[in-house]
Amino acid sequence: MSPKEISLALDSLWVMMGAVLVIGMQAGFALLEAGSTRMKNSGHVAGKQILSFSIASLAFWAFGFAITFGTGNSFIGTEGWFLKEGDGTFDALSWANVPLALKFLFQLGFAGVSLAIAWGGFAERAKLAVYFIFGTIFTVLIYPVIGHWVWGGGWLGEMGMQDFAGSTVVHLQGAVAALIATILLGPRIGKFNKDKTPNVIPGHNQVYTVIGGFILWVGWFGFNAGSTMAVGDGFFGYVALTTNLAAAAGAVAAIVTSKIMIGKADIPAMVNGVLAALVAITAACAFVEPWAAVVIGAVAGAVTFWTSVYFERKGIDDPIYAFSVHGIAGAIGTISTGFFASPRLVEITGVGEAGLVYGGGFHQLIVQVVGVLGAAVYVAAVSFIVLFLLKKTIGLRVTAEQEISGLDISEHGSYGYPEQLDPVFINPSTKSVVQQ
Amino acid sequence: MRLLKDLIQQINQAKTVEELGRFHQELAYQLRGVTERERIPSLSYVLSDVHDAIMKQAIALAEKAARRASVGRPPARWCWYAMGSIGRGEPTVWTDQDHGILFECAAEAEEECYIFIRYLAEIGTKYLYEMGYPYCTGNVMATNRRWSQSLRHWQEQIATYIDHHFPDDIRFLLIAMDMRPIYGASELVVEGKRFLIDRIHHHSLLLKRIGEHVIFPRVPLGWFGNFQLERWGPYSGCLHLKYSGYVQLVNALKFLACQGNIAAMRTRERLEEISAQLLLPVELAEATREAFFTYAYFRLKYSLAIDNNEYVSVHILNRHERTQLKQAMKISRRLQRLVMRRAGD
Repeated sequence: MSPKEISLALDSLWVMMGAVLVIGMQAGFALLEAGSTRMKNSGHVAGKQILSFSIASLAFWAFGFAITFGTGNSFIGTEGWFLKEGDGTFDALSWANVPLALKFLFQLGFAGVSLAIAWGGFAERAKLAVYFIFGTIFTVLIYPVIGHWVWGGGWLGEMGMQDFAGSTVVHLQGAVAALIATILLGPRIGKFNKDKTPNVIPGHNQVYTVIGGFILWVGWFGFNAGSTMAVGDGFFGYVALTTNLAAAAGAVAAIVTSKIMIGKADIPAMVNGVLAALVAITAACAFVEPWAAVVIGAVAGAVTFWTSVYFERKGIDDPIYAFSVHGIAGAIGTISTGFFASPRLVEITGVGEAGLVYGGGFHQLIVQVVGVLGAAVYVAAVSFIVLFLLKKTIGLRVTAEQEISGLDISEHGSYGYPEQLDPVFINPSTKSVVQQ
Repeated sequence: MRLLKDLIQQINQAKTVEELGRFHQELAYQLRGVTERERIPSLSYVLSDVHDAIMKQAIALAEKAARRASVGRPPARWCWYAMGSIGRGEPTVWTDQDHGILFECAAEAEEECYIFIRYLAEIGTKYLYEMGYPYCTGNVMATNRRWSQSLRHWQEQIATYIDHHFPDDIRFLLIAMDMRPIYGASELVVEGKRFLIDRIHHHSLLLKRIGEHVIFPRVPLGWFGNFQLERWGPYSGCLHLKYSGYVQLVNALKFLACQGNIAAMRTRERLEEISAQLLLPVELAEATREAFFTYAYFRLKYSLAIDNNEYVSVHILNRHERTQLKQAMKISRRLQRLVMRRAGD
């Protein structure tokens, strides 16, 4: 084998491994979200993750990938539908030395994660049909547009926006859609009292939440380190290092913040701290030094705990705190490179300029802020229009009775925990019928 | 203040439960607008005296009714005592009932005497309720036999709490430490309390257990001096006044009183004797005094609010009040740490 062939083989293997890790994050989301919600919705919440990734797979293959990476203009890609490859169709990804199928598979993982994040805002009260419709539209009209702006040769990429693995492209997008959804859906029954004070609706299984968080942590090595899409110079190892440091700092910062703010070392808060830190370091992982990764992770972990409490007090029922963990942290991470991008790493990645603390001036900081605002405004506007139209036509929310019964039984006809919830299994007088 | 002293005179002349109920209302009315922090030390003395006067008259009326009914046999000596905030001499305007009765009777007549005491307790409790003192949700009332017994049985019961290791024992002992005579043969309660404190004082393991009990709940003040507010529920964003250092301070003083074998009745008296025995550093004793009156101020002020409850939203506290409350909370935390060290010795 020639060195070029060896490189192709190794890079391909690495990208495949990255794709598997990122797609595996769907399992993490399923556990995290199911653990953080109630037993009566657990089958639905976990199961819809498979539905979500399936919808994303088909829609991203048909249209999403072309709009994201196809050659076009500054706003959208206009070539490469159904992965049809022509001369220069996917120039935006020509830097990666792997077959197109792998590029697609890897990028599909990202689109799937973004959509999974959005569902956080829909949890425990949205109709199943909404998942089909909004899932398709998000994968075709929302995610790919911002993806194109930053990674597909669009205007933000041209400005030199630094978003290595998608703090904005993947996480902020999903989170803004989640926020719009949770506002339009309204709070879950029983979440707020008449005087707007919030009640706790605890998740049914903290262990699921923790395991889900850990699966995501591991998956993030594919997400960030995999985004090098090459093994040649070993840079992926460095990206993995900053990613891990940030996650660790986020966990410690979140549990300490929780202890300071509410006097309790809250476990779900710690898990969310890990995720917030991972979200934040996603943009910065290839641009910042290890010490800065610790700072970014700690700030994200601490701030997002505070914002979780704050938004809840302001009457927003975000069941798994998707907007704080992915949106606020996404913005923090994206903007962080405006401060901390080091000249050494900017040279390696070849994107943008050094940050403020290295004497790079305000240029990169402004670019990052513009990127965050541009993406947030677009996603908010399109999500609002789509979800508002759905609300006025088919309706977004199940009936109060269905919500109280739980989505497992009302949307799917069977419980995730039948022995605990299904009267047929609970009532001994009907048990014999079941056994027959 | 003068008006409150006049009120006591009027209460002493009262002849009916309705009259006494009106005086209780009058107390709330007169206190509106006079709850400045500076006036709290003298005000809380008088306030305690007003409640004592109402209760004395109420029990006197109850005694008359019980004697008229000729139920059981009146004991030779008996004493109605208060516990809780009235017992500690630090009540607000609206406070629930915490009380009991100790009596002395010939051994063979004890059950007969208890029948009278039980009847007296029922009438007294009912009267107090009608005067605006809610029933105790924890059933710490004279109608509960745990708190109404002959002195001899009561001492046996205390000894049981001391010698056994049931989880509720410490709680009962902490409640009993607040007992203070209100009406009748006060020497019975003085003797009972002396017995209680003396036994705990000489039982180092028990003292250690009480210390471990006293260090919880934690004072809801973060490392940066931030209030740790309720996160969820109807009082989200609020502080529970009772648990924001007040209970912690009161309980820490109870522990120190046991350590010093101090059977003083009211919290203020406890604190003075603790200071005199140098069980607290001079500076901390002074700060504790200030913190105690700060809590008295907040408790009194917010007990007069229309939606009277134990919670206060920090948003309605002005800057000065926040600082005062945080300062008091820091002192309570220091006291808890001191107790933790002493209990560990």
